[in-house]
Amino acid sequence: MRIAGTILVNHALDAMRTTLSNMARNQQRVATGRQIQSPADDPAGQAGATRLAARLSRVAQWKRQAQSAMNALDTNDRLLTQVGDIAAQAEVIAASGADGAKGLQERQAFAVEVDNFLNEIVDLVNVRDDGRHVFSGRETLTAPLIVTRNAQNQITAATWNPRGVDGTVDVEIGDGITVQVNVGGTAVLGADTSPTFLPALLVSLRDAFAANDQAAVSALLDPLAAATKRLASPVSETGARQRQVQHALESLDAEELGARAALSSIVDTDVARATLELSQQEVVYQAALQAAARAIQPTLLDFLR
Amino acid sequence: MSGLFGLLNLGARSLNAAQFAQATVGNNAANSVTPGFSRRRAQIVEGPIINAQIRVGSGVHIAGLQRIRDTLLDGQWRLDSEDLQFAKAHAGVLSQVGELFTPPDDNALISSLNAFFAAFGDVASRPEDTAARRVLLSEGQGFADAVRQAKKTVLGLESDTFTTLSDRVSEVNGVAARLAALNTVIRQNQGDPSLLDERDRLVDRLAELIGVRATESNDGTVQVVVSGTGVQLVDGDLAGMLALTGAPTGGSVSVTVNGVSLPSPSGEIGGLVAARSSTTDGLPYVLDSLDALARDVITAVNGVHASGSGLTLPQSVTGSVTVANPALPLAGAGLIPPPTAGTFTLGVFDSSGAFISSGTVTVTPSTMSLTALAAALDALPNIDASVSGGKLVISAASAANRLAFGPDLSSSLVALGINGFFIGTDASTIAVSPDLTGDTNLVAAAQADLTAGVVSPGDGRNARALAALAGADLAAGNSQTAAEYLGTLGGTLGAATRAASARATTLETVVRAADDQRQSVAGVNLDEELADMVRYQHAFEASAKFIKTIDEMVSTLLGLVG
Repeated sequence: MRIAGTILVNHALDAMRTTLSNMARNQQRVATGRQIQSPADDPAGQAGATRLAARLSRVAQWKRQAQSAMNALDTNDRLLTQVGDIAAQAEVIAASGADGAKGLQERQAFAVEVDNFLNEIVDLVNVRDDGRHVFSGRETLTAPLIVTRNAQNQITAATWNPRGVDGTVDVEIGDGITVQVNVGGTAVLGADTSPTFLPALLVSLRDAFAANDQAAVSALLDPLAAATKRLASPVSETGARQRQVQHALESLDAEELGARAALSSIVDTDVARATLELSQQEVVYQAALQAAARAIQPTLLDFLR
Repeated sequence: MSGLFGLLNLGARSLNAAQFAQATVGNNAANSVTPGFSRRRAQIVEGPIINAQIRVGSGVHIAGLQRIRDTLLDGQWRLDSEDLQFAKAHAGVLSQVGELFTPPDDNALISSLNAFFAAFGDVASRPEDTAARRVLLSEGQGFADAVRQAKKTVLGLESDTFTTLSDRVSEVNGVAARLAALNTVIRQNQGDPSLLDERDRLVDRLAELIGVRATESNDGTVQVVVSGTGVQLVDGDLAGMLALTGAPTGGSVSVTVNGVSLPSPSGEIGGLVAARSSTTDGLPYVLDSLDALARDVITAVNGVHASGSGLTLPQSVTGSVTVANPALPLAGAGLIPPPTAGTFTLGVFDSSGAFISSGTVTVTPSTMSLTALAAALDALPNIDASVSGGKLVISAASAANRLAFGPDLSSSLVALGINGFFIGTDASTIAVSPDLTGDTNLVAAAQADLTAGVVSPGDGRNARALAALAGADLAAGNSQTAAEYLGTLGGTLGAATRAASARATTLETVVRAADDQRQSVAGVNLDEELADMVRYQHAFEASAKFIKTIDEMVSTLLGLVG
C-alpha cells in the first residue's frame, strides 16, 4: 500500500488520542473513586446500584427505627420494673398491716407509706419520655391517668383517659415486620373498672389503714396479689420484644454490610487495578509518541546532500 | 530531419516540460496537508514523430494534468462516514442525559427519592414531633425539585438538540447551494482539478451531515441524492431545500427536502433526529418516564395520604384538581387515577377533638358527576360540600368543627386532589401541597378511627404506610418500585448510549481505514515528490546542456561560414 504523509500522521494522532482517552477515563476513576462515570459505563450496574442504594436507604431507616424501638422498650422495661417493685412493697405492707398485732399508730404510718406508693405509681404511669407519655397508647400528648384529689391533696380516685390508653404504637423494623413498642395502660394497672385496678386498690388500702380497719386491709390482700401478678405479663412481653428488636438489629447490620459491599463492588473503583492500568497506558502513550516521532520526522530531504 | 534549429526547439520544449512537471511537484508538496487535496501528476508524453524515415522522436510533449483520485473509495468513505456521524451524534445527546443518573448511588433524583421515603419513617416514629414533619416536607420538596430540575434539564437538551439540528440543516442548505453553483463553474471549466477537489469536499460534508450518494457526469458535475431515498438534494445547478419540522421541545421532529419527508435520515442530522424523537431510548422517552414517575409517586403518596389525618384537623378542604365540566360523570372527567366504584368516610370533630358524627358516601363514577358527589357529601350530617370553579370544596358545617378523612376506597379524594401530600400531575408540576407547607400539622401521619371517633397525636400508622411505599410496586403499571423504575430508566439509557458509542468506536476504525485507502491513492507523499523533484531537476539540467551543445554546434557551423 502506498503511504501518504497524512496517513502516518493520522495513525500517530489516532494512537495518541485513543491512549489519552483511556488514560483520562482511568484517571477520572481513580480521582473520583467511582467506577461508573456515566450509565453507559455499566448499564446493568447502573440499574443494580440504583436498586441497592434504595435498599440501603431503607435498611438504614429500619436500623434507626429499630434503635429508637429499642430505646422505647428499654424505657418501658425500666418503668414496669419500678411499678412492679412498688406493687410488691405495697403487698408486703398490706400483709404486715393485716396482722392483728399491729396497732393504730403503725397502721397510720402504713397509710402514709401507701399514699406515697400511690403517688409514685401515678407519677410513673404518667411519666413523659422525650415529651411523650409512655403508657398512653396513641394519645401520647395526654397523661393516661386522670386523678381526683381531696382537700388534703390526697388522691381519691383515678381513671384512664377516656379516649383510650391501649392504642398500639408499632414501629417497622424490617420489610413488613413491625414490633409494638408501647404497653397499654390497662395491661399495666388493669381497666379502671376492674376490681384489681391498682390505683383504686391503693386508695382503698390507704383509707383502710387510716381507718385502722383490719378486715378491710385483709380483704384487699387477694386483689393486690392479682394486680402484682398482672404486671408479670407486660414485663415478659417487653423482654420478648427487646430480643426481637435485638435480632432485627443484628440482621439489619448484616444486611447493610452485605448491600454496602455489593454496591461498592459496582460503583467503587478497584484502585489497584485502575492504577496499574493507568501506568500501563502511560507506557503505551510514551511508546506511541516515540513511534510517531520516528515515523513522521525523516524525509528523503535528510539524505539528499 | 528538422535541422539544428529544430533541435533547439526540442530542447526548449523539454525545458518547458521539466518546468511544468516541477510546478506540479511544487503544488503537490505545498498542498501536502491541505484537506481534501488530490495529488496531481504531470502527464508528459513523447512528442509526435515528424519524419517517419529517420525514426527519432521530436522530444517531449505536455499532455495535461492528471488528478489522481478513486471515486469508488470516495463512495465507501461516505457510506461509512454517514453511519459514524449518526452514531456519534446519537451517543453525544444520550450521554448528556445519562449524567442525570450518575453516580447511581448518590445523584439528586435517586437520593432525594430515598430520603423522602425515609423521612416518612421518622414521622411514623415520632408523629407528634413538628421537627420530623418539617424535615419530611423539605425532603418532599427536595424530591419534587429534583424531578422538576431533571425534566428542565431534559427539556433544555431537547431545545439544544433542536438548535443544533437547525444549524446543521442550514449548513446542508448552504453546502448544497454551493455545490449547485460549483456544478455550473465546473461545466464551464472542465478538468480543473481544484474545482473537482472542492466538489468532493462539499459532497463529503453532505455525507457527514445527512448521508448522500453522488453520481458524477462526464463533464465533472455531480448529482446528489439523499441516502436510502430517491430524493434529490443537488441536481445540476439546482439545490433542494432541507427543512426541519417540529417544535424546540416536546413531540418529535423530522426533516423534509422540498416538502418530501425523509423517513430515516442518516448522518449527524439523522443521529440528532433519532435522539430528539425516539420514544424508546431518546429524549421523549426520558421525558415520558420522568412524567410517569412523578405521576405514579404523586398518585401513590396522595392515595395513602388522603385517607389519613394530621395533628390538627382542617375546617375546610379544597381540591387541587380542576374538573372542566362538573356535570359529566367522574369516569369521563380525565382524572388521575380514575375514581373507582367504592365508598369513603368523613368524620366531624369539634375543635377540642371530641367526635361529633361521621358519614359515608358511595361513589359510582360511571354515573356520578362531581356536582352529584358534592350533593351527596352535602347531605351528610354536619358537612357542607360544593363545587367552586371546578374544584370540590368540603367543609364542616359549623365553623367551630373540623373534618377527618377515613379510608377512601374509591380513589376519588386523591383524584380530586383533596387532602393530598403533593399537588401537580407530572414532572414539571409536582410540588408539595402548599396547605402542608403552611401548616406542618396537616401532614396526615395518623389514621382517624371513625368508628370509635378518635384521632390520636401519637398515631403514626398512616406515616408508616407512606414510608412502606418505598418498597411498593407503584411505578411502571404497578410492577416496579420508584427506585427500581429510576434504575431501569438509567440502565436503559446507559445501554442505548453504550450501544451508540460502541458503534461509533467501531465505525471510527472503519472510516479511518476507508480514509487510509483514499489517502493512499490521493494523498501526497513528500518522499515521492522529492524524488520527482530531483528527477525533473536532472531532466531540466540535461535539456539545458543539450541546448548549450546545439548552440555550440551552431557556432561551429557559423565559424565555418566566417
